[in-house]
Amino acid sequence: MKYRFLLPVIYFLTAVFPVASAFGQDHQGGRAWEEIFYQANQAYREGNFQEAVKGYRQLIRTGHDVPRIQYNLGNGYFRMNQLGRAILAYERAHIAMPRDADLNFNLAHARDQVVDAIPPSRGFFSMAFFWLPSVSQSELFWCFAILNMLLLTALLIRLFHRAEWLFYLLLLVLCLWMITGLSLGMKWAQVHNDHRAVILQKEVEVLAGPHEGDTILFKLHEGAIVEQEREEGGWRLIRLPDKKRGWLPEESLELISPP
Amino acid sequence: MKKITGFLIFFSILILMVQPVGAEVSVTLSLDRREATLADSIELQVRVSGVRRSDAPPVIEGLEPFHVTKGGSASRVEFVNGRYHSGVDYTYYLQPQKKGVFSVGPAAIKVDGKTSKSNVATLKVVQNGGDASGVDKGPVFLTATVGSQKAYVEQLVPYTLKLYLRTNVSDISLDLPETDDLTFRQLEKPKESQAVYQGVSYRVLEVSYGVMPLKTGRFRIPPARMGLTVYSARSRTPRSLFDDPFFGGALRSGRPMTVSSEPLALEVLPFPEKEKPSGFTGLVGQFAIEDSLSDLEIRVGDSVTLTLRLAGNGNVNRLPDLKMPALDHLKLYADEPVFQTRAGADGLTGSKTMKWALVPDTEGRYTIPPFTIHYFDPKTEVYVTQRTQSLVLKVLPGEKETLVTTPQGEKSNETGPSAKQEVKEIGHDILPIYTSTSGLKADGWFSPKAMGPGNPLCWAILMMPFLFYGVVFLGLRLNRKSDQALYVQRAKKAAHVFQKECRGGEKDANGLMTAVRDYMNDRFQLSLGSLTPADVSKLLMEKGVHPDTASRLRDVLGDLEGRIYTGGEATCGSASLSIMEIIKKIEKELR
Repeated sequence: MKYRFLLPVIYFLTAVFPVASAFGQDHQGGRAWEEIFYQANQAYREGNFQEAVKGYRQLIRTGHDVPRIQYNLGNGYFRMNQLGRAILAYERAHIAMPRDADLNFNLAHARDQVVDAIPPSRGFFSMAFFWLPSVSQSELFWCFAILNMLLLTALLIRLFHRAEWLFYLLLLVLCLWMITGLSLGMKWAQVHNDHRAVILQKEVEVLAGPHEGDTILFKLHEGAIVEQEREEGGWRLIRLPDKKRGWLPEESLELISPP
Repeated sequence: MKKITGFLIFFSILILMVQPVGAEVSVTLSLDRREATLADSIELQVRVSGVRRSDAPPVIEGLEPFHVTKGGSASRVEFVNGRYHSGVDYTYYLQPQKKGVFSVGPAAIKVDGKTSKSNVATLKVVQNGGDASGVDKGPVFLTATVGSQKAYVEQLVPYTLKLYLRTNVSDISLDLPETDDLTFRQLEKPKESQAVYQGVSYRVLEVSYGVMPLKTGRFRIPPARMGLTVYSARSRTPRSLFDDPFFGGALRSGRPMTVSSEPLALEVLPFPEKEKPSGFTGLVGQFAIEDSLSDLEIRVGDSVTLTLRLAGNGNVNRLPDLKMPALDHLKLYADEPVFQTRAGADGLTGSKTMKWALVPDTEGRYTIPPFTIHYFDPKTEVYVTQRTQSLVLKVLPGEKETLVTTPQGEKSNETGPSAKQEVKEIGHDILPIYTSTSGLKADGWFSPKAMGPGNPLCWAILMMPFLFYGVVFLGLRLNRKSDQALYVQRAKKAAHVFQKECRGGEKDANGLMTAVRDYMNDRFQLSLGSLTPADVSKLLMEKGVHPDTASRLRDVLGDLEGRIYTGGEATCGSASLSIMEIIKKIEKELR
């Protein structure tokens, strides 16, 4: 019982790293998802975009919701003239790979074809943390993790060896650690409070209330990105950056980051 | 200075005292010649004597056939044989507007309410000198010539004006002949040269124009008129102050003058009907046409530029906008034609460049038909048809673009730098899909999407260094505490260890001394190497042991020390017992 204290650690690691089981599962299902991926790509090349989209969606449903599949899905929808769904898929891919050149090109091309000119809202935080749209949450996390390790390593060395250079190094790492940590927090808040939604129908009327007969306030077109405020009985209250608000039937839009 | 001032005062007094002679006012009118041409400028002078000033300038009759320019007025003071005369001279310049015999005058002037009249002068105005060869035309005259007496419609004929000068002039202005059916265009900047005319040397100012007739017929080109100011030397006062080179003649008053050229005739012929091409658009001159393709072999979807250039000399404004005929499977994007024109000694030259971007959508060979222009060459008086050659564009099947790079240090075969042009967007489309499976595996907690506060792995990664640091920190603290406990334990057991070592009384004096030192070190957590009896006693008293007990131990230890140095008993059983007893007492006292 001399190493009794190790029991919680072993328990934690077993819970957190289900490595063996995950690897086994992946190995079994590996051939299947790769086959679906190749078939979808082949269908895309042959111009059978409906089949390609079906394959990509199947991959996403079965846990391969990775940005590159979303990108391919966006391409498939674009070829099918479903601009709204194409932008939705591109935006979802953009969250995880914001600097991908192909994705940015296609997204810009798709945005160009949107009828509505809706300027992006720019608040104080988005201006102060201007670099956030260019980095993904995982990139920020790994930066923070490395800085975290560096900071504690420096502290650890300081327990045994107190030197002046170590003090300044500690200060520098601490500053970077704080900035990165703050950025990570902001990014996390952005991603987890992302209520942007994409209009999926060619043209949709925005009403004053969540009822069919309510006054039509304005019209939106496929691909327009709006901010969803709340949901109520099959209707969603949306808001535009210029403070226009109104209700839409829920089937006419979809959240970029679903809850 | 005083002398000059005195002279001036005397002179002023003299003038005031002297009464003007002949106070009667007289007016005289004179012309500088009796006969003149339409191009001449005649000086008219009205000389008023007997006054220093008049109420108003003279009123001169008979000036209707002239254009009158004022030449200014001047007061005159004269001393003749000690007599003083004064007067005012008025100067005018007359430019005849028509020919005939005219009476100029009289000039009437009012002085002190009394009107005085002058004489009348006669002037004969004749037509311009024209071809009066051998006759001196004067210091300034103008000639005009045309390059050809015959021309075709819109053919540019050179029209040259030459201003011959034998005196200084300024403020030159030109009035070109005005006719509805002839247009003039300046071809060159005025140039100056020297020439000899009728044996007299002149400076010649030459201006080149082109005259373009707009319709057929016989035309008379009216005279061109040039206005200028002439500066001539004054005969009466040839060495006046203002003729001094110091002033450069700048302050001399000039005399306005107009000179005219001779009228000219021009016969404008119609274009011959014989062999007139059907597509003739009135282009007259010499022209050329050429076309080229930027590339003779391209791939489907690529673009190639077709350039067509018309250039030549003549009525370049009539260069036509040629149309590129539509070809199947070839998209055409026309640029704005670029028109350039330049006037020079050889007339009007110019060019028109037209460009089309051609984008084939099917492979094959495309033949670009020839382009044709027709023009009339006035030199050979025949119609000319210029035609380009057919161009063939080979279009290969479309293929993915490959980037061809030139190794560093190698030069391309082309000698000159290639002209750069703006990249034009021809189409818009999205980029292709990803086909690689790398990065597509479902990584679970390691996937980029899962990297967030909801992922326990993230917390583990972030907390791991903290945990490690905490473990090391605690370990250090615990290690420090365990040392303390060991010392306490050793202090507690010090008496027991001493008794265990000295049980049986077999230790000699040296061994006993060592055992006492170890007891003291363990008991009071010291690390002393040697102890004297006095040190032991002092240390014990400091730690709270009764002085009697401490002195007893000091005595026993002193006895043992004596034995060590004197070589006494080998064993010290009694001393050992005594020390054990004292240590027990010390332990009691220390509790």
